[in-house]
Amino acid sequence: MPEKQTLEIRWHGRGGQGIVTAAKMPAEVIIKQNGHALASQEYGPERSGAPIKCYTTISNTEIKMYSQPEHPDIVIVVDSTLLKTEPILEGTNENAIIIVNSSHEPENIARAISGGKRKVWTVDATAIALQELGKNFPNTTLLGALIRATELVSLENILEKVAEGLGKKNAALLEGNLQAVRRGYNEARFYQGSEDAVPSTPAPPQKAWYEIEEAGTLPAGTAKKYSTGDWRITHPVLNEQCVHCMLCWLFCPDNAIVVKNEKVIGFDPEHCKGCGICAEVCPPKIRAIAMEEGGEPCEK
Amino acid sequence: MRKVIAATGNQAIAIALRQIEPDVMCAYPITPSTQIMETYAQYIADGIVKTELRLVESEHSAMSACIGASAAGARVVTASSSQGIALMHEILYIASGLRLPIVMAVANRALSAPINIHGDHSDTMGSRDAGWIQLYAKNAQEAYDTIIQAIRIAEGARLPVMVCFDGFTISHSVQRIEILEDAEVKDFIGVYKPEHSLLDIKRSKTFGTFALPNFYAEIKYQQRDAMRKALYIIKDIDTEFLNRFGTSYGLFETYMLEDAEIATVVIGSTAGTLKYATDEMRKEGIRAGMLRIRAFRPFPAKDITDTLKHLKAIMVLDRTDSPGTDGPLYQDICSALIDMPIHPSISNFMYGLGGRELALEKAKRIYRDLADATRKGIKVEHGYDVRTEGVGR
Ligand code: SF4
Ligand code: SF4
Repeated sequence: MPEKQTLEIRWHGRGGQGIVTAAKMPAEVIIKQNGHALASQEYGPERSGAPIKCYTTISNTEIKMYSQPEHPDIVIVVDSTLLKTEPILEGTNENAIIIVNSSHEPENIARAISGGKRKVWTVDATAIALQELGKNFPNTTLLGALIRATELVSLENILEKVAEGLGKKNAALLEGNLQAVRRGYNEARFYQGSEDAVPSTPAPPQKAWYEIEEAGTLPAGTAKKYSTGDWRITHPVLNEQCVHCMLCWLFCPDNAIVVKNEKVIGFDPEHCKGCGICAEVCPPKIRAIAMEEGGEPCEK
Repeated sequence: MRKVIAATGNQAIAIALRQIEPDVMCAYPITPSTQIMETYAQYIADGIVKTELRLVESEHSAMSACIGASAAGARVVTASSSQGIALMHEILYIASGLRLPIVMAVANRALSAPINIHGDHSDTMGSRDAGWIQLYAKNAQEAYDTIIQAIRIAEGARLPVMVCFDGFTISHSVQRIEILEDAEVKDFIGVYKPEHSLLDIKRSKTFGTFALPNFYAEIKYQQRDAMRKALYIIKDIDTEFLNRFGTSYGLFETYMLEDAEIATVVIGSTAGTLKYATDEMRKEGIRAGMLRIRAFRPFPAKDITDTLKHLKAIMVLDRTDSPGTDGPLYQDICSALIDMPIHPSISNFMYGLGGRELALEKAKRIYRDLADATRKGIKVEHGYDVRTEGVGR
């Protein structure tokens, strides 16, 4: 464990990726070993694919602060698409460690987020998860990388906790997860950061109370500007069976079914968040929409 | 030109509403404000007014419907009391949070349990933090004038307004009232032109947005700022009312306060009794006075400080209990005076619960106790109008 008395971790991920569980797991291990830890979550639009943040605090003395850490020592980015949209460096200093789920070299990520200044670990947790679990649940792999980067607890202890959490219900799933933790630990790569790199730009200022629209009354149609397409971790695929009954169009919460000449022709990649409602409501005898893994742009 | 009529408080409100003729009224009538809606429904049935009246299944729905209509751009009024105010509590915050100028007449009544239909201030005091402007009238005349002013105040401040008056004491007693001509009222209130509305489809807006921790406090602060500005709006509209119709009420009313040594502070109809008691005290050589709060939200703290600071002792009368602490008016008066280097001794008396009368003798006793304590240089104990001696065993 580093010399610091308290270690604060912030997790950036998307609803449905299991990051809440990932944030809790190290806390549970530490508490079980009679240490002090706290795991919390920032609540917002709790929908599948929406950006969410979780926190883990670990300390060698009693934790008295329940508010969310403002200056985390470690930031874990579970979904690399968030590097563009979320302020992942917010509140961190040069010593903070950034762990990113990415197939890229850590140096490239450091360049992209900080001009090369920051300390970055990367691990291709999605690829590992797909190989070991057959699903994009990168959290256990990232847990392995976190243990490697911090030596918070031993690898054995975290493996035990993972085993306990998953129980004996599904031996294959358990072995897959244990293997994912081990591979995350072993395959994580580090970049030290460079002193003379350009400092990161501070967050832009926000509107004061008197500059905000009264009562938060906004112009209509703001949902259009809000790119829920970023949230997608699965995507719909349309096949020839479609009879153009328009049920999917009626139910899609983001108006992402594209219709031309009274025919469904595809999905709006800007707004389709991959919720799968369209596939669910498509009549069982037709099944013209299938949901597939991955947030690839869906076809128009 | 004012015309003298005899009417109950509720009838006076109904007449004012007929003259205002709001676009929409949504209500679920409840004692003691039932008569307002009853009379108004009659006006509609007789074809005198064109208001769209929506009778719904509860007060929760009544306020919800008011919000929908108001957001759509209508001028909206409702009336309620007691349990009705309690049931719509949740929705009151939405009306003010959305900055909708809904006006509600409230005949104040006690809250259950025990069941009681009579006047006290528990209902509206329970919603004093709901972000509504609260104006309390002392009699039917003031209730009539205030509801007319309230339309302008609400629309000017973009905040909802409650016009409160004591249940039964004011709502049901026949009083002498001078009403304005219909045209005078119509001219005073003018036409309502909301800045945004749901039905303004050319400049359509999203109402009721979601605000996380990074925006919520800013939007709440806007409401706080609007309340602060509302003090000036209430004053300005009252002045305009004075210029046109010769009557004004101010943020609060004072009686014999300038040279007073001791005073009571009160809300509502009991002010009348306290004026009598003040006169009697003066005959006995006691320099008594009284202050009656009209605007309770926003609370005119600064003006009140300036008015009360020279006194030796004050008894603040609360017509609601706040079990576990002191009365709400007492707390606000204390906080208004706390910044004075030397402030009067301030005590609290809870009275009038469930419609119990504060008779003249009791009122005089309050003044005498204040005078005695002042002479001895001590503070009067907090009081509660309750029987402390029983039949014995
Ligand atoms: S619900 Fe299915 S069949 Fe109907 S329009 Fe959508 S994709 Fe086609
Ligand atoms: S998955 Fe289907 S229902 Fe969900 S947002 Fe995309 S198109 Fe709409």
